[in-house]
Amino acid sequence: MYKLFLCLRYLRRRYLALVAVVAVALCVAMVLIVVSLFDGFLYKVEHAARGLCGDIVVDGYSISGIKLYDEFIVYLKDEVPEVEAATPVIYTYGLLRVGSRTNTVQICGIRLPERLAVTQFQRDMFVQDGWKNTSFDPPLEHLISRTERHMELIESIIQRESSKPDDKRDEHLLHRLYAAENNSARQREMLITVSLLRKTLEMKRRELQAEQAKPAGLRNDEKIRQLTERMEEVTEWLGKNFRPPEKRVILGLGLANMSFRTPDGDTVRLVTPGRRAVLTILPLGRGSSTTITPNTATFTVIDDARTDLYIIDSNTVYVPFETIQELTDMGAEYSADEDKPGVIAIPARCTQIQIKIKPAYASDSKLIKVRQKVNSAIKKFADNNPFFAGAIPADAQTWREKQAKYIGTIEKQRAVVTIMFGVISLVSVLMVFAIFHMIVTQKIRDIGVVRAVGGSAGGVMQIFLGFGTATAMLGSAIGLTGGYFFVRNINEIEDWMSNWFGVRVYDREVYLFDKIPNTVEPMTMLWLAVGALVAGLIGVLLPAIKAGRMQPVEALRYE
Amino acid sequence: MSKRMLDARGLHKSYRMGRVNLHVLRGVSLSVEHGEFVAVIGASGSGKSTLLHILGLLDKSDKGQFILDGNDAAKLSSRRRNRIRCRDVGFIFQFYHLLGELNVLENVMIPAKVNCSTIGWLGRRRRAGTQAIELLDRLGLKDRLKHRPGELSGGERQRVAIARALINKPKILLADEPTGNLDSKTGLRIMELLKTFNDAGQTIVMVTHDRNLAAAATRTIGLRDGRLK
Repeated sequence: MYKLFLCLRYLRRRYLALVAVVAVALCVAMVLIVVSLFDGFLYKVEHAARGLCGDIVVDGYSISGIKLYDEFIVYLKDEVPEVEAATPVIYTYGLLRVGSRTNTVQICGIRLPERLAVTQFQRDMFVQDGWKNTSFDPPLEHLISRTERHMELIESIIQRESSKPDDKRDEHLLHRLYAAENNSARQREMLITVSLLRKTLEMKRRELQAEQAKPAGLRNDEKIRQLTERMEEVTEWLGKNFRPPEKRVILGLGLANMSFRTPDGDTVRLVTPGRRAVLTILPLGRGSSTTITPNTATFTVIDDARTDLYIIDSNTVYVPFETIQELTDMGAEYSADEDKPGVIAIPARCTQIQIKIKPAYASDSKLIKVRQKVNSAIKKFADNNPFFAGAIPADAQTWREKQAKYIGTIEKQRAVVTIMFGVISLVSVLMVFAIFHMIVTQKIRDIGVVRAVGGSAGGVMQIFLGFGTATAMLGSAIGLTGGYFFVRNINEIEDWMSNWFGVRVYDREVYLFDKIPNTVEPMTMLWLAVGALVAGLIGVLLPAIKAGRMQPVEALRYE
Repeated sequence: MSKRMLDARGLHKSYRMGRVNLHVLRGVSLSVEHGEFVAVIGASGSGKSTLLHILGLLDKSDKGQFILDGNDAAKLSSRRRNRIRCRDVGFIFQFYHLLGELNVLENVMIPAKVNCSTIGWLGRRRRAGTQAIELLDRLGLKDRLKHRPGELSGGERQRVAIARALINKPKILLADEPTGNLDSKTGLRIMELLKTFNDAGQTIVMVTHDRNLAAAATRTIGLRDGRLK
């Protein structure tokens, strides 16, 4: 009883122990913050990576791609029941020109309805954010209303920035905001014109039909001619300025000069829906034997999307699958033999198949087993269909294997930083050791008294072990609580720091996450609590042994 | 009660101080009966405190036999020594040795807490508290229960130390220069208190260098250079 009583009393009255409590608390909080932030980033990147390409990816190693992909997908669903959905994708490279801006880009040909079943493409889109039926043909009125809301956002940022004192106003930002506002206004006007012309076209079509339906004597041929001409003009204008769904493009949010972020984290688009975009693509599908002549096509920007992976979002544009297949010469090629008209010589191809696995099999370990099944299915299918993958067979990888380069880098960084901070945290062990050594030295006479009134050597040792454990537990509890609240409120703290000191630690113009990740894993907290306890015990062990070994007479005579 | 409270025969004790071997006790033999108040008188360095520590099982003799209340000290395990020290022996030190973090009542109750397991203490806590308050009341410290040692005078501190030594109703009280750090008037009061407890049947062995104080004891033994005179 006296052991617990004395260790609690020492904890309350020995203010020196508070230094050890603070040291432990600071170390625990520091490690918790670092690990949680890295975990948060890692989770976001993993989440983004998985959302980007589905659970399993099949890549064709041959430059000419994977043939018979639709047949393979049907076969795969039969052969591997864990597969929920799959979609072909074409990846190629090219140049994107919007206005005077030109970017080298990765072009991703997607089948939108299928891709939605496999990835989380509809997340964080400009117009179709979270829509279940995202497409390359969203209703025009949504494009207009979304552009108007974006203009309102720009207007509010302009007002906010303009109201700042001269020395704090960012003139460069204001200049960019005005440019974005002008662009959006122009695109809005254009979209409204498209909308009006579509209505006009419909009206003229009805008028034409009515006129054509009249009996021959009553029909006004001149009017029919005028209506036809007018309709052709409108159709031509629409065709040039607002292209059909197969000639529309979704931009990755992060393409250079297409959008920017304000220091407060608002995303401002310089390119909004309705804008004309020209893609120049190398048709790699034809093989390497002939001279490659680039294909150029004009598109209409319809939306933008982001995956949260900067490396993807900063250089990717999404184009309808069949369109890009045609532009890369990956469409089906028919036999040149006149005796075999309509016979396919080379089937259409894709460069990748993205597969979604049923949620019950989506864990990392189960996914690896499913990936093995997919690879077996590839081999079996290739055996029966020589066209399928060419000389080098296709290969399946899980999303984690596919993105190992990015995820592995962050994991390594996290491990290094955690080890580094863990080593720094050893300071707390030394601190606890030094402080408890000092406390034991100060308490030698108390030790003598406790021994004189019947306390055992083990009992004395336990007093100091208990004292050290209680110190570590208290420090750990304070550190975990402080660290937890710091991480949870890290964005508010960062805003506060920015307001007071004018320095943004987290540059929202660089990172694509709106906010700093602020999740804390309960298991991390548990491990840290255990770690702090062990560290405290290690720190106090030697002083406690010293106290326990002290002879009562020596202790009582100590001066 | 016919058995002797303690019986020491030919006790020797040496200490090593650097390169020098100090022979502190040289064959001390001593017996104390139940209820006796024995004063051991000797000059500084004569071995009084060492003798007291051996008698209180805080230290072991190098040679000789010591029996405390029928227990041969040489044959006692350290666990048993601790138990005897807790239940049967009460110590009073010259410098009080009160724990600075505890108040008066808590200091007095420490030996009672050492005497109990955690569960045992839950059952005994109230009774031990009452006993401690009664004891402190007898020693004139009832209004000082919540004071810390630093807030008490020397005499008050020594009275707290006496209460602490008596809380477990020990069979023998060992006092090491109990008035050595007090003025003469306060010292006399402390001696009166010890006499009162002895009158009530408490066995006391006190070491002192003050012959006047030793006069309060029922028997006086002289110690010089580690030998009884």
